[in-house]
Amino acid sequence: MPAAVFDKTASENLLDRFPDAAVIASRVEDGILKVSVPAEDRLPMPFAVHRGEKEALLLSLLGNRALLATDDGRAIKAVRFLRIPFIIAPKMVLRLAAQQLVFYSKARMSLEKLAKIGRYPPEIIAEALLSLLEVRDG
Amino acid sequence: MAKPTTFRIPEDLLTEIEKNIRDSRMERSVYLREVIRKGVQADKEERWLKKYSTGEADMMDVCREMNWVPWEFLDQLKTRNMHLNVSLEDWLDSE
Repeated sequence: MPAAVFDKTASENLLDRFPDAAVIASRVEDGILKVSVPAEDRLPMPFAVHRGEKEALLLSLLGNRALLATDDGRAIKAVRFLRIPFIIAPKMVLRLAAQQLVFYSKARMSLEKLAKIGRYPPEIIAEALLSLLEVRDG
Repeated sequence: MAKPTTFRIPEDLLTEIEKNIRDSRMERSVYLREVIRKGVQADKEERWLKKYSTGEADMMDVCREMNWVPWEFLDQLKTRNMHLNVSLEDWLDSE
């Protein structure tokens, strides 16, 4: 996780107000998530991105084009340009279900939360739910 | 420092304003300043969220302009029944 993204989403001043910020901070504290600052700061790209996106893109490039998780349309345009593989949250849920790391019911509930709270467009959630049914039914 | 300005408003709106001033028991100028400030803020939110939905701005642009953190941004999308700017194509291309 890029340091700039951690600062924006889970810095200390956010912990009391936003429960999800506290969850991220606790995962970092437990060592499940690692916060990193890329060693490079020049991105081979003709258009500008925000600091958090830039750090995420650099971390991926420095990690031999490691899979980048994002929920932002503009960041996805940048990863396409840089030919970095990416994943969005509903696809993560689907992959976890396919690998039987989460039960169908938990995966379904997560997709519903991504619709209501994560504000994913209905067409993506519909596709994800259909794919989840296919996973369940083999 | 507050600066004076003048503009014309329709009579029905003026009637409503006068009624609200009586109800709120506020000073006329204080009431008008407060209402204009709220209106300007609401208009700014609406314009930046529209820019987000049309792809002119991304989440961090909106957060910077509105002084929101990403969690507040998601709350605002929920309040307005809006969605992330991620497309079906992104779903299909995602690993």
